[in-house]
Amino acid sequence: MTTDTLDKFGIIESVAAPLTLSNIDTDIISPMAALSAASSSTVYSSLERYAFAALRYKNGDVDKAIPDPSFPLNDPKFSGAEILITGENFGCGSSRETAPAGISALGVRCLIGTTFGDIFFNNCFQRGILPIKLNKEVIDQFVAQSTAGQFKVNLRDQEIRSPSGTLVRFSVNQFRKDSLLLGLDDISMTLNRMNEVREYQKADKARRPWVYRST
Amino acid sequence: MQTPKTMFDKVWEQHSIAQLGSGFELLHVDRLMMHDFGGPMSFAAMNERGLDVANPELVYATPDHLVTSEPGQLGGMDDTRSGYIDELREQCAEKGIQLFDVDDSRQGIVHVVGPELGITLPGTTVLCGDSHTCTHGGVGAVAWGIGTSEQNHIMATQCIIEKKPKTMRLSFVGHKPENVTAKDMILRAIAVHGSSFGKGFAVEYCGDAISSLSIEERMTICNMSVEFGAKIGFVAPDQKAIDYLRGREFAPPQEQFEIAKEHWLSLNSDEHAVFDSEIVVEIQELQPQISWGTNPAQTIDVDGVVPSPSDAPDDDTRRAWQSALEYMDLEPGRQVSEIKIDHVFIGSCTNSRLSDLEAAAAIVKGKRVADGVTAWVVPGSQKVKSAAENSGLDIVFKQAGFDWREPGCSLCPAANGDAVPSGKRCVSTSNRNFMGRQGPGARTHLASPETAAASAIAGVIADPRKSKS
Repeated sequence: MTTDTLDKFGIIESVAAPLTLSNIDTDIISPMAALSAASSSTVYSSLERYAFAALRYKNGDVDKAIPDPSFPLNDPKFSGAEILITGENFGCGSSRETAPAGISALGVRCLIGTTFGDIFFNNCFQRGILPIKLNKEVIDQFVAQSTAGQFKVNLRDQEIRSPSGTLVRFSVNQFRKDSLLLGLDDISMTLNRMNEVREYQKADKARRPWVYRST
Repeated sequence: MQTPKTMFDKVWEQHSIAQLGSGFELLHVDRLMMHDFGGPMSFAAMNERGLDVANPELVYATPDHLVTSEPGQLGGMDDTRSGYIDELREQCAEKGIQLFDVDDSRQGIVHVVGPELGITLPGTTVLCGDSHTCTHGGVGAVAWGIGTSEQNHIMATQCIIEKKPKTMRLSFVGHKPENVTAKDMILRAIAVHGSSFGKGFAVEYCGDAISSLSIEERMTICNMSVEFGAKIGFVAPDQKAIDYLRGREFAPPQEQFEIAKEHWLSLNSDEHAVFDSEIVVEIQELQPQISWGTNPAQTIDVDGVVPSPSDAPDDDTRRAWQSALEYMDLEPGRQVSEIKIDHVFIGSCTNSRLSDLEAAAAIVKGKRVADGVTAWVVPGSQKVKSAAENSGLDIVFKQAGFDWREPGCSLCPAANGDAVPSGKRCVSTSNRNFMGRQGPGARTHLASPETAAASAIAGVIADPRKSKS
């Protein structure tokens, strides 16, 4: 059994593409067409092509795949961006983990925005993506500077250096930070506590016997 | 004296196994529900890592996302989709997981099946790789949607790692007018307060208007919690929940049921419990609701007009409205009730239960679907389907020109071969009007079963109160 399933999260230096429309949902990020056209073992390999299809291609047409110039990642200035500056409530909607996986497939490893969908936010960490929440004023400044050069995101120091040289601190949950830095996976951690889980179940079965089906 | 607690506090405490630091806790998962889409992806990951299922007897599965709704047909509509369903079947058999397969009389949409079979119980934690898992809150469960990795974690450990959300009490006050529905109530709440006001909260729905709803109507309300950002939404169990669950196949047997019942009723929020947020929605003047845009907050009264971006409260909203109008091919100021439609979909985990179908049937009875409109009814489960057929609802729908189809998610996620064609307009009883949700380029208007039924007859978006005979 492997314990490290993710790469350790290092320092990111990259341009940041502004994708600031609010309420970009996970159906847009990872359209169902990508998922149901592939099998469970091949689905991850099709995510790159379909990611953001409705915004990224003209008429959302994946087959013709004519780039829509209004989509920031189609702009040569932002090619290879590892950072996305996102709008309010980014990643709302469906719980599909193929959304952060699709973002990761595009080479993006960090999202900076005001708010994110709750389920999506958790899923990001499972896919080695760092979602950073900052206030609207800072986001607006970042958008304004997005064509001015590279951003540097340092998770260990919880700092972003913008192209103008300004340092912005961000907060991140310590538990999530440690997991990202170490490339640790939740399952291995909990498997080490299974005796506690079994103790809980034993006591709980006395309290709430109806929850447990006899086998 | 003990500090008064909310129901959510009580359920959370009862499930907490360990503190993991930084606010994270290890929580017990009482029920893992799986479907044909998320399940196989998790099994593949589990097998690759050589992980076993910790408590297969607490896991239940049924195919719903990928099954075809084609009348008379079972399983997927092509090899790819059938492949997922085959994998689910093989893996469930190998791992000893209870599956309600495509040919089982208990198959259906996972969020319809859980409560209907008494698998979902008050005060239990019910998790599923689907954001509409909050639906199970209608019977008093604390239920939420998860991603694939979290699902793997539950399979391997029967636990979830989660940070305790804040609590919100969302009260509906006032008397619900005749002929408006639970769907209209929740759409209205989202229209007024926006698509993210529940972010970070576990929502308890309260108020007389909630108490007076049936359990099925409560499920409709809870289902839409995630559409305003709340992963969790529930109604505290009361006598209605107890009556609903008694005698269901997987509900506790008689003797145990009486003990369980006492526990469930003890879960109610204490009288002076403090919530982190209190929201009140007044429904005295509620009208039938219809969405005009590409997120559920873009919703208006059915007799209203499409709003103008120039009236938007801020720049971000203006841009969002502009983008929505463009996608939906609508002009500001347009009377909604004049908008011509091509499709009607009555179904999904929001509105596919027997009471939904009865309400829609009452409107279409003796009438005909307008020319050029394709209208579908997709029952939420095999049990709903056969109950509806036993009371002749299928005949009512078919005589009116509706397609009477096989249970599953169908046109809600459009993952199964069912799709609204690009550029076509659909009045849908589902939960999401996102761009491309019902198929690339499809335009969705969310509404109640009554409004959807009335619109099918009228050929335009219609006020159901005007079509009651």
